[in-house]
Amino acid sequence: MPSPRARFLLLFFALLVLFEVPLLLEPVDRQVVQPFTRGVATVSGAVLGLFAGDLHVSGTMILSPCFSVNINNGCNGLEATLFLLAAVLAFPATARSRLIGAATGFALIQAVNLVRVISLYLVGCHRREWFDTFHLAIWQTIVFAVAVLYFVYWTRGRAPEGAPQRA
Amino acid sequence: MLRSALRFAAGAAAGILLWLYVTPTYHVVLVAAAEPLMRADPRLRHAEVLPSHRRITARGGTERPELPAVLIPADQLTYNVILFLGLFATNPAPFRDRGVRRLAIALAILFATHALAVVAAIEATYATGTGPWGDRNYAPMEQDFWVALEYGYRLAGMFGIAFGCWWMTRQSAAVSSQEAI
Repeated sequence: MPSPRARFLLLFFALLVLFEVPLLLEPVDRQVVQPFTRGVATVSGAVLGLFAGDLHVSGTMILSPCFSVNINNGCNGLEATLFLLAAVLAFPATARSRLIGAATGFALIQAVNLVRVISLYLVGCHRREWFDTFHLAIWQTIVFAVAVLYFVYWTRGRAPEGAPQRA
Repeated sequence: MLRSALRFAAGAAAGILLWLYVTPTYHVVLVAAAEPLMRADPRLRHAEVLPSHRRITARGGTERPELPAVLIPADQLTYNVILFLGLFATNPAPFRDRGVRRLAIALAILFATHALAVVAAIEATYATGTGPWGDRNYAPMEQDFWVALEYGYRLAGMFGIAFGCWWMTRQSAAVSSQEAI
């Protein structure tokens, strides 16, 4: 019988695969991921337009004379959201608590992702040589770190069944 | 919460420096582990895997010169170490008791998954990025499999692995979930 910690991880990885694999399927990409990503581009473009001036949004692209950015899979916050959903569902808690945890986490990740898209546009516009490092190593880490730290915050007081308790 | 965020930032900053400056050296070790794994595939039995600064090259070498050369951005497969070190830094007293042993085991698991990710990336590139050679040597399902594996690893798998490694380094789920944040 695996320990509660190992059981959580096994369930987490099983759910992660279950949630992420459909994103690789073309119909899911066309019907769900692309419209969602266009929404992310529209909102990001609207916020950027408040202070970045001459730009417009076309599909998943934010275009301007200064810099253009195409929001692809991995940059729309969906993967981190599904990652968080897998963790929340794998952790023992009530359905209500999970629902609140997942919904709040989704909103938080999308808010952070909005900051990511905006900042990447600005980095690309003003410091093109930094773009790749910010795009991958820094912002991907931040988005997933927010998901993990939020998850740990959410688990406070929800100790896994059978886990040793603090004296 | 703020203290944990600061500890995370310090750990992640160490991870970024490590990833930025140690990657070329790390690739030398990584290819030594990845090459024998890759050669388990008969199609790539004679392939050589070589570090190339932040990238890794695979090619046929002298034994099989007709094998195309491929170049993969290997540094994009290993930056989950930044997330792992950031999270590890949030552990209460991370180097006390069995913390160092757990860190060593977690880093060994990360290393093993990096080697497997390099193999998956090379296979995916041979399967779909070499034109007719890939179409001749890989069935469509195999091409889909390797691409899905690489894609899944890059988009979420690598962060799931970093999270899982960190989760196992915590003193106990119940205790640290209350203490860590």
